[in-house]
Amino acid sequence: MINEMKQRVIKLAADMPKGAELNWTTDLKDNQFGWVTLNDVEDLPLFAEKILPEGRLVTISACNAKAEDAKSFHEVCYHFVMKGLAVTVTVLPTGVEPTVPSITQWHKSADWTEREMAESYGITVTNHPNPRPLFLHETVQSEAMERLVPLSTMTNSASTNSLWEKIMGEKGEES
Amino acid sequence: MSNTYTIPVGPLHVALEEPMYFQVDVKGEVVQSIEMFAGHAHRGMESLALERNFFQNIVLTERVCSLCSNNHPLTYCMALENIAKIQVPERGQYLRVIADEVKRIASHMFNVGIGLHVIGFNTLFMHAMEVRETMQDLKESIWGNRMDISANTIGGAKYDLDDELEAYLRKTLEELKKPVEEFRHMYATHPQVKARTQGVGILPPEAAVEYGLGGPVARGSGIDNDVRKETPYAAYDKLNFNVVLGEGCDVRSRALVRLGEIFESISLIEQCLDQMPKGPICCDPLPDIPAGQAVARSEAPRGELIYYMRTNGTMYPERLKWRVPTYVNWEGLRVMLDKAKVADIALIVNSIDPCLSCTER
Repeated sequence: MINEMKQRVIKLAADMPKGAELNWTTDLKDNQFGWVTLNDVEDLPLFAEKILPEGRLVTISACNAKAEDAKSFHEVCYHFVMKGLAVTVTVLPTGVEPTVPSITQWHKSADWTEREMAESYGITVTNHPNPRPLFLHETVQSEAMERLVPLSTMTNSASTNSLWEKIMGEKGEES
Repeated sequence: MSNTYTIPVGPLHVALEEPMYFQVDVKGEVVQSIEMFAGHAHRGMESLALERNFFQNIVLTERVCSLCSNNHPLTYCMALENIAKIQVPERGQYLRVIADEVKRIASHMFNVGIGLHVIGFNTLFMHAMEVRETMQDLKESIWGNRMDISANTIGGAKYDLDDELEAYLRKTLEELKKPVEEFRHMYATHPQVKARTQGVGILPPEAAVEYGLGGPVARGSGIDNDVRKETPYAAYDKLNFNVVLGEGCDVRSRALVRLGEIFESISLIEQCLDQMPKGPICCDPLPDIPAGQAVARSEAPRGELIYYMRTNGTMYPERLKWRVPTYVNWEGLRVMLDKAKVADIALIVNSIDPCLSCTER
């Protein structure tokens, strides 16, 4: 079964219009892992559609690419499992605002994880059916995983006194 | 004039173990649609993990959730071991399975017990908690803690079993079999339990596949998806066990799958004790962790847990991402709650064994 799935991934990668790189790793139990890098993020919906019905999306990991030779500030990894074969598809978001197309249309399990990626990394997901924030309240600034919060800001109002003053100040009352 | 109206369930609700807000549209007593609002237990742990070194992250990941607290550090360590090609000694692999299965028994008893509490059958609920308490005592005796047992470390296990502890473990498991069998019989045959759980919260197998659901939730609808069989890890490739499947696709079926898995877990632990060789429990010394990336998967009590890690040659991960089984199972509630009775909402939500701490991290 795993070999059959491997052949499917090899064909899928070869069929991508803009091309893709593919390599394989194994763990110490000889479980196989496929690593696909798409040359163009626009090929992602095609890959997501063609990996069905065996392939299911498990999760999506957005990363800040820190390597010196990185081609983009962000990388987005889509983790699929095909009957036990784990396949990770990496794309580079395009545009001034990093953007990836939604694959929720084909994989319902992408719904939440695309929304989480959008709110945590500020990556725009186009054509998402329900693009509201997942965990963070709308008053929280976007790109929560991107921003540097100085310790002085984070600990502001941490003591009882200043917290009380802040609350009373917001209510327009003197403490 | 429409007679549909909206009722709030949660985020704090007597029948929900953790905070989740459901906006439920109902017509009379029947649910028409739901919307879920999460974020009440969000702790930013993935960001925090980037500020911790590889050893500190074992402690951090164990605190993602207390019920599947063993699977988080286990899968985290597996990802790191994949990157650095660390070979876990055979005894360490068996010890990992023992810890995992003990946690699974306790977790499943807890969930089935809470389900009984939700339907008001508190006698059987107390019975479930009493049986579970056996496992809690066991954990406290072997690992010194009732929830976070710190059984895993990079390259192996952090604990060992001497002859006395092995005998105690065997005796406890032997004593557990009869009460669990009695409990399962009660659950399966009691008319009140049957009336409240059979045909409730239907999840057709096609929907389970479409939504990518996992664990006992999907197995209760006949989907064979156990990671321990699919891609074995630790010592599971050397052990015999069955994947428990249900056909009812309802609350009852999911509970019976969990109860069936308890017997498989007991058998797995006994096999480990029979087969476990003497020897080292952990790889020592550990190699440097090179730059790389890896995926690791395990079967937590609630289903498939996956960790993705990227390293850059330092002692800190460049990215650590994990997806817990409940994360995908929430969306399955749209199917299970469709046309359900309002009185069954909490019961159906409980049947996915929801974990907010895991989901939101």
